[in-house]
Amino acid sequence: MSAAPLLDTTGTPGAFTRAWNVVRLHYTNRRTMVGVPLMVMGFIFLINLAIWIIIRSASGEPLTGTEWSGSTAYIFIYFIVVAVQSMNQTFSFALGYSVTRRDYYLGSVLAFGVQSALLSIAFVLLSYIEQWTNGWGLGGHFFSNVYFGTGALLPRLFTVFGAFLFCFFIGSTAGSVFVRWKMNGMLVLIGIVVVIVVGGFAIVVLTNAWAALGSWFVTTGPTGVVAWLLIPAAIAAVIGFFVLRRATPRG
Amino acid sequence: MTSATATTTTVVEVDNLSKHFGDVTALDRVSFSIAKDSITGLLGRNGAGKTTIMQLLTGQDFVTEGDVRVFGHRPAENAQVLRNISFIKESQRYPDDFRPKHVFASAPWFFENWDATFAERLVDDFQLPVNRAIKKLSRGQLSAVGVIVGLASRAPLTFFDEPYLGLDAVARQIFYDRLLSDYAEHPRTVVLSTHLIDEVSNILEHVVVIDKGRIIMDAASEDVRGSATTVVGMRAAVDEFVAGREILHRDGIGGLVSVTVGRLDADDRRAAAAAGLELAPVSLQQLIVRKTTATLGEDGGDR
Repeated sequence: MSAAPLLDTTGTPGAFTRAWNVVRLHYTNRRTMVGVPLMVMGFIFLINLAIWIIIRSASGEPLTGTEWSGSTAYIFIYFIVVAVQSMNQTFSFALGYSVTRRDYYLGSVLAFGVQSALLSIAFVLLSYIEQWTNGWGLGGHFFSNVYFGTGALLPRLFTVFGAFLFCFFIGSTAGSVFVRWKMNGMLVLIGIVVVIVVGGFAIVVLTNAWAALGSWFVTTGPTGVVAWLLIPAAIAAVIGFFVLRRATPRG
Repeated sequence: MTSATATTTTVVEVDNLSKHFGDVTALDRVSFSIAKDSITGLLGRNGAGKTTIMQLLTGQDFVTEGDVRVFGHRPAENAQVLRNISFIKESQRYPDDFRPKHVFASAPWFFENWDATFAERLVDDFQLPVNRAIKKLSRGQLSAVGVIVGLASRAPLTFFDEPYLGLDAVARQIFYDRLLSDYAEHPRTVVLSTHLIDEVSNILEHVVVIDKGRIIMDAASEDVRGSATTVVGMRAAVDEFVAGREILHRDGIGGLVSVTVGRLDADDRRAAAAAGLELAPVSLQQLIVRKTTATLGEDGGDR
């Protein structure tokens, strides 16, 4: 049976176009998605640079050991926050613009994928510049640290992209929980995560598996670990979808 | 597959609709329909359930019981239905760092009939500062943003939720003028929700009045206007005249009383004139106030 005559369904934009419009919505004002994150990233980098210069001029020797720096971890973790903020900011507005929750979520995840791709290209480019300039002339390592900034181009790109994707998808789940249940939901979610982490810790301790775990990390390598992380990332993204499907915009 | 119960002239069909928020009953078995290409007033006091109805019609919230059909289909999560709807609610939240220009720039992606030239003209009409942060707009300017989106989107089903909040008399007049002229050129179904009834009463073709989650009036505004009359005169004469009629309201100063009763026919009017009574029309607003306070009284007052 055809649709009711009242509703002219011809010309309804396809699912991809509808999701893409949500991507554009996330980028309408680039402050949350681009401006502030770049400022945070730049600030962390400048602080590192300043510390390198201070150490260098105090010791008068070339820097050693900066390839073990974990400074960039803050950038990745910050994008969990960015994902939650973006969804909190745009969800009510998108529904006000007659967007379905389904299109909104798919569009948001797509926007986070685009953002991860752009970020990882920039990140990898900077890691090469860092290598070519011998650590900005100081022997420092920020983008080219041992965890994901070395190796051939493709694994390097994949590792950084996967790490961003992981953070964004965790963020999109947290964002859905926040949009649907506000702070109470976030507290429960954090509680669940803590229980899982402590549970994992207990298993490792009680089975004396530290050595096995350590050698797994070594043999799997950063690229392999990121590849494994994409599984929980995908699960989180799917959970986020079902959480958001029943969310309602509030005042 | 959906049933085609809606006729081609009915855009909104609400059947036995209830909505509960926890223990609170926001809507209690509400039924009404809205005709295509008409201007309907959704009237009622604050908290009566107006916004809840509109949120259910636009898929922003979920039905507890009963059925809602928009263009013959359930609206929730239905992209084909929702693309025909524009609903900027009074409490619409915008992204914190948005300026009005961002709102208008993103509108055409979601409203295919968006008229950017019309939007620009409206921005001038309302003297809206498009580069000011939304958070820093006055209440009236914020209302203007919603009004501009509602008008320029030209959606087949457009909701205006309390569009007058904070707007001065001049801006309100601009809104009526633009709405009516654009409606004449591009007929569409308009639902206007407000508690300021008198100003809109002459542009409404149909009124739905809701009170405490129930529909207490659903009629053409023509019919509503003649549905009550105030009888003024000396107490004895008035009492004799209104005996046996439905009394909506009663006021009295000394020997003089004024009583609002239901519809009067030609014979009634002649009888009133013969008895030396004065008849005065009742405005839509007065009538709704009478009706809503009447139901208050039946419940034994406000608590």
